Amino acid sequence: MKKPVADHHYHYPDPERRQLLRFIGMGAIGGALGNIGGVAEADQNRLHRRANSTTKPGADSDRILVVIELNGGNDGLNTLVPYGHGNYYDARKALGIQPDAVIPFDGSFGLNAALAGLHQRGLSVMQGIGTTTSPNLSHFQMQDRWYRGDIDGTYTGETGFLGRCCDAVKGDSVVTGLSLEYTQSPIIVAKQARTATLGSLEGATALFAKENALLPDGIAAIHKARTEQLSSLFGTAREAMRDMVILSNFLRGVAAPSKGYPDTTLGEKLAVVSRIIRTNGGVRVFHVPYGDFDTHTSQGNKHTPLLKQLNDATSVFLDDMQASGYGDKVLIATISEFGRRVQENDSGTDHGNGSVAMMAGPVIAGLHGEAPSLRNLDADGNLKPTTSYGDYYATLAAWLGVSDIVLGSPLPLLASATQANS
Amino acid sequence: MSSGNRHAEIAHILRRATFGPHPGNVEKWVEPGPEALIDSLLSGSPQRILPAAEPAAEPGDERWDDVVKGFFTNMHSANAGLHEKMTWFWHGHLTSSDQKGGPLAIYRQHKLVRSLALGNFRELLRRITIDAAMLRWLDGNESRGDAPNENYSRELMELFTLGPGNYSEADVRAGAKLLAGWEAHWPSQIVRFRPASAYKGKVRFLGRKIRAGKESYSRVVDAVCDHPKCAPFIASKIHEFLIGVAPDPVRTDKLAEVFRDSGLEILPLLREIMTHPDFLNLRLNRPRYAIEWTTAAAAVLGRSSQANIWAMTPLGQTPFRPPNAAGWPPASSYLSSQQMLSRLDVLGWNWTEENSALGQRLINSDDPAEEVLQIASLYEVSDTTRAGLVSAARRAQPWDIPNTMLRLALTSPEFVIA
Repeated sequence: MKKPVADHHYHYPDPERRQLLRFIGMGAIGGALGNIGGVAEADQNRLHRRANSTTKPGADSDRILVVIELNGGNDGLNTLVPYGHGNYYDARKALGIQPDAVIPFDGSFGLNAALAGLHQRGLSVMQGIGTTTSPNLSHFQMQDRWYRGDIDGTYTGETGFLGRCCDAVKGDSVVTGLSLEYTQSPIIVAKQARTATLGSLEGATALFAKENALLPDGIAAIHKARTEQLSSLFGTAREAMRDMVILSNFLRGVAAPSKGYPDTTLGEKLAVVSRIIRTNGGVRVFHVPYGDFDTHTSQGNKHTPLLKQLNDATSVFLDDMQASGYGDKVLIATISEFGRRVQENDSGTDHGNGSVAMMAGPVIAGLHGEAPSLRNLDADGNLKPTTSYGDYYATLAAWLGVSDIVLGSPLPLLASATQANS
Repeated sequence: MSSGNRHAEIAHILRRATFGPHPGNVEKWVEPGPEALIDSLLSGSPQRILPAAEPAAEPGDERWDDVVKGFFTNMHSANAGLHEKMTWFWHGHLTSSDQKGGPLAIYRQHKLVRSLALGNFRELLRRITIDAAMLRWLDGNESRGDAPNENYSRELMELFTLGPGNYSEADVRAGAKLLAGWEAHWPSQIVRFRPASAYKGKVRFLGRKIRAGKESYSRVVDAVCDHPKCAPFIASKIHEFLIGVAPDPVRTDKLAEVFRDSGLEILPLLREIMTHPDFLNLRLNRPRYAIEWTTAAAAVLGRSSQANIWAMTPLGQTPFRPPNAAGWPPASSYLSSQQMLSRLDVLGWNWTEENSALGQRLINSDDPAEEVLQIASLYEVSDTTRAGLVSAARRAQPWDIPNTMLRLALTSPEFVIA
């Protein structure tokens, strides 16, 4: 037997180089399939069967949901600007978006002009979204509720809102839901469906490097399911390794990157989402965390640029989906744990409640919902939401043909031809 | 007590209270025994801050790399003990990022945390409340009495001392007023109190009437430290870090009592936690944090501290770059498929040469499976893992032995769980 030569073990790349390597295509890494062990091989076959099946974009069961999380609490008032209201400029003396930087919906409200590209492509803006029961101004408490789809603070289940969507649409997919970050988010935790976290595609197929040829068999032997455990965590650890093999396998066949994505965090993430969607391998739900919208200070320098990056990356993504035949199959929706206080502090805004939710794709473009009053605020000086985020969540679920997984009723925001396939 | 169990106990103590074990350390402590090791850890001396010189204030200063490498080097050192482990704990608890504070501010904060990691909690909290990196990270720097910024006031109570539900929104607003007025100068990062930026007058905070002024930050810290929920909150978090589970209510009361009676001294609390039978008995009950896995794997592989700094991004635990004010996510999130992908990738960049001492030791062993378990300080091993290692060794050509065995062992459940 000839001694194999390892591919890449003699040099350490410096961090900058690693950054460059991220998201570069994986064709060069993949070699022969190798023996991946029983479970993974079966999954690989299923993936191929699926990819080669006649199910093309067009069938309802192929609808895809991409949720972009505006992490940190997006300022709804500087996203959907009440530019016709004097109260807004009184409260936002330093930070108010001036009328000339607004795309009007009507004489009262307009979109921050940073979102022009999305507006042009048809953006649905739902105002007054938030928690109508027991608001909480802690990021961590409200994120927890949004992640788990705990609308009124009484949900006690272990799955996340997107995880429940995945459970409902699972089908025969190898992977049904993906969260695009390095650490696991509770939002994607499912019971039956396989969901995974994926920070980048870098290293995703290290398993197939030449020098690792003996690993798949070893991993299959060590990480067998239903084997003895020294503690309850052993099962979790072994399952994570088995999922890693399946995920590696899945990602090895991923479609080539599309051109034109901006070189931003969100641009890179949406480029990965596009590659996975175009692989047509059955991933139905994506969670894409983005940004630090927690603009306590220097909001003027941060917030509009964050919206601009959202606009630029998502516009390219929408065009990419349109061009590759997925235009009517992919719904993009934003979530954020809360909005910001109406009254600015010295140079930023503190945690608030009501905010806006945005959707793009097959939606009814324009402004929806009832505007919360800028004068009749709650005891903490925050907007009183007019629509529960449960209703918004129910809308996203309905897009996937799913109901009864969250407390709320769907809103009429989806384009009529694609309303919930009931 | 069987000696196998004794080895496992020593390895367990070193996993939890240090960043090891380093190969050979377990054997060294078998004879003195677990109690002696715990004693030695509780009386160990701190490592010095690395590098000794301060970086410049501006982001992008080349010396910034040295600051991250310095912390990394200290954690990777075979001399890293309980002080180093608690420095990491406090960095995650009273956390800040260099991305808002810049290199010089975060270096000084790190120095402060190192100096009080086993010291007095009230003193640590007092000083970090007006620390330049913290003032920038949680926006105290831009808070003015007439337009107070609530960020630090809220996180001080929610994340640092009391936990949610133990204060009101009125307390958050009052705290913000009492904390306003402290500013870090740029680029010196010297912190000064500016009366013009402070609130004027008295406010009620956690039931105490406090007059705003230069000393009011200190009154705020006293009010949270004296709050009945503070001692149990801190004690419980440290217990979970070291023992893997939150203490039950009776135990929480006991820990809080010890902590309070000592005047919030950290070392007596650690002694109470580490000398309780639970510390030795509750093994393999929490995942290793990414940082613990990386340092322990590097120790096994005989790698220098700096080779794997880049890996902390995909592993999600870069020092001085916490994801948010809550620090890094709980241990339970480190057993994901993404973690396993990243870890396998990291091991891919840490090649063990055939002719290195480690390579030779594994190739020449009669039982490479047993050998790799010993090198990795794994003494409690499931039959499935052992059988998998044995069969992998049987099928491997000699040149495949070192890297195959090490990669399988370092991704086994036994090694990824603390």
